[in-house]
Amino acid sequence: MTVATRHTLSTSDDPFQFCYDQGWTDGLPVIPPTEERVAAMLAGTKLAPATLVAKIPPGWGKATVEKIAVNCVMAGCLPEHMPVVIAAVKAMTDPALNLNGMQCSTHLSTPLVVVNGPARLFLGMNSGSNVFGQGNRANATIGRAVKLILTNIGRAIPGVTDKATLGHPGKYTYCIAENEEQSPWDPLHVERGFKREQSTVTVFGCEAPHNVNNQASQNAFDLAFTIADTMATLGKNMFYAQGEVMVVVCPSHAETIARDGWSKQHFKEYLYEKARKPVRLVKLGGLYGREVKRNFWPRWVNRDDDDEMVPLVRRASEITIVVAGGTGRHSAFLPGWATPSVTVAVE
Amino acid sequence: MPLVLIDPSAEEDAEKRIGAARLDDLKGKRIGLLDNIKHNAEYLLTEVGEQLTREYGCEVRLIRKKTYTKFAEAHVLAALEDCDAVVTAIGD
Repeated sequence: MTVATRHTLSTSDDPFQFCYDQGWTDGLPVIPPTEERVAAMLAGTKLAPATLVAKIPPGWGKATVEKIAVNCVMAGCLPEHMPVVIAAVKAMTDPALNLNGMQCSTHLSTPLVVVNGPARLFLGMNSGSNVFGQGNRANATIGRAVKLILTNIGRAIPGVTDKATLGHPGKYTYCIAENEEQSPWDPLHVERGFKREQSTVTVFGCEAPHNVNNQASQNAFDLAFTIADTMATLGKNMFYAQGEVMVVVCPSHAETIARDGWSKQHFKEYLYEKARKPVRLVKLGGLYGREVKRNFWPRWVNRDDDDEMVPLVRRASEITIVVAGGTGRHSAFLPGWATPSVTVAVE
Repeated sequence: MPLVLIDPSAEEDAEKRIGAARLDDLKGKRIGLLDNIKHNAEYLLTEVGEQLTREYGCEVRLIRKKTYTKFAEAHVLAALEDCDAVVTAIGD
């Protein structure tokens, strides 16, 4: 038994214009969610259409499997994408992520979806060249479905309940896969206790990727320093609210770092030690003030010493490393909003 | 055959938020001041509280949330429960 409202169009209605007029789209055309298309999409999951997956803030609308399928149709998904989108809905509504705050914030962060495990291969996802860019149906439509769900079911309406000053392009779609085949380290899901043959979705609320161009360094220290230097900038939430950050390392950079005998943990520890700014600079802006005085910084940071170096995050484990991308020597830093990433299994 | 589309948005049974009943009169009322710790919130609320006390004889009670990004903690809500009205601040 399904509960979603049906709209019967008149013969003069253009379905594309109708969807836009209802406020259902991201501004780009969507696939009109006919009953036939939604039924076909529902074949991609064993869950009953009425199953409640989560309530999405800030409107706390009910994301049933049927509602998720409707948004998947509009985004251009294939039925086999459904389990990944459902997993993303579960992950992003984990209270740890504080989706309610993120959806309404003036900050521009938005959930990024990172897919690990065999689903990447089964769905033909892109984990290589132009991984954050256009061109792959699975990456583009899974990411887009998540964003349509956030606005249609969650009611994060731009300028109304979504109060982002600027927003960012990832609010249309923001989904990548890890390049596990070209990583010298365990992939993200294995690091987090899942089996390599399991598929997972990790959701992280973050800014757009900030490029780290280093074509010169041939050793781990010099290369990692460039990444740490890109990370330690004042305009991020991190020096004030702390939280988690992500570094997406291209295969060539990862190979250079690992060739010097660095594990992923060594790399994280280096970034944690080097991505810092002195108290005297941190005081200049950002969120400095009342929140900082509430001890978001580690206890060992001497707030009265202007030369004390403040870490970007509280501990090395709050730097998440993902290997992705193709040929070339460009990595990316993804500053967080203030909350951790969440990983769940794709079922 | 007319085209039938399925609505992708939250159905009307989604939780609705209804504003609290408004007071007819402020005189002698107990007013909670909920500081969400955004910059300058405490200055604004302190001033509001002083005016309420001076002009209407209100009893005011200033309570702080831990962070502005999350819901008020249970003890904060409990402390506001017996107030006649609550004023909060601050949006950006």
